Amino acid sequence: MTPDTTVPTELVAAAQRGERRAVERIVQENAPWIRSVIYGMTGRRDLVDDVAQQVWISVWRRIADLQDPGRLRSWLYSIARNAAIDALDAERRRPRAVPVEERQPAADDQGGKGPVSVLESREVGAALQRAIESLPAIYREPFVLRHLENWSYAEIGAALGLIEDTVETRLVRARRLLREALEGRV
Amino acid sequence: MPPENQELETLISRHLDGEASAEQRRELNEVLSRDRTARALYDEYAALDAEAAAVLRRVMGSSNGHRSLRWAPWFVTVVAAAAALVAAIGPRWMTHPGAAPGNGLRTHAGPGWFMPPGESPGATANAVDVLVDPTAVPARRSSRDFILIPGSRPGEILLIEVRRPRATRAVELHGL
Repeated sequence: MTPDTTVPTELVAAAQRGERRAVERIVQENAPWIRSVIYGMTGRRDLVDDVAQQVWISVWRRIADLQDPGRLRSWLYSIARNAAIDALDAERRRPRAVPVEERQPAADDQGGKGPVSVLESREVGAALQRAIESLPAIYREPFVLRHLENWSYAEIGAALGLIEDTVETRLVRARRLLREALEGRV
Repeated sequence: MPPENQELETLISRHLDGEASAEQRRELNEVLSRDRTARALYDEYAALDAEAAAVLRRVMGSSNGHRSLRWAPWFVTVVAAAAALVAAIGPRWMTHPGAAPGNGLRTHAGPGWFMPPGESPGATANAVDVLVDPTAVPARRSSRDFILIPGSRPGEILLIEVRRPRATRAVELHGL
């Protein structure tokens, strides 16, 4: 995924005219990182798909409001961020449901590792997931975009409205917090 | 944490992110070659990074990109279904209230979905007839379906958002 500067103005204009293919392309090209942003904001995998759905409905309703097509990414980010915050607020107001655990890989998916190392690997993975999900959102967001989307500091900064130095500082802090949380288990 | 450690962490982080300049890479290599503690810290952060990327890919699904392609059909279908129903069914409803619109969507020929003022609650049983063949739009990878039902007054569309267990999924789109 490339930064905002490469968003074709015509694509956004076509979407604003209601052209189906343009809308499809915008969804296809941006859905993965929108999901990452939602996960980065909420730290809740079980909320991602439903919030993403709300985001695309909002995008469809409000695409005509986008004045500067070059700012498509930051515009999408603000919608995703607000939707994620709304979802978290709604979750806090209702009784907490225990999310269904994601499927863990079977032991024979581990490339021939012995049972002890498989168990250790799973424990480390689970601990790391908990640690990532426990990070403050301001650190988790750039960390997820960096590690899932492979975005550069410039791309992360452009989407999140941060200068590159701030992105770097938050990534350093995120790594430090994760390392402290895992206490040498990785 | 001592300032020199913070600088080293920043340098390691920048290197792992592919953002280090040639000069910074040379500086880091120099530090790592002469300082075992720094080397251990680098190895720990490198392992943590690799593990974190693997964990995130697993949590978010290994085919994040493929999953995105699945958004287009339902998303466009929801919009298309709503537009088609408003355009095609709304005007017919205005001229023939309660009559089947003749576009393949079976509806109840009685009082309609929306209960008129003063009608008894028992009339909601009619809704079952309307729902014999509703327009169900599944939202993939989600716990929701959308069901679009034309109302008895012109331009009325009832959009029902249904949460469902993830194990079941509506597949067909009826009535368009």
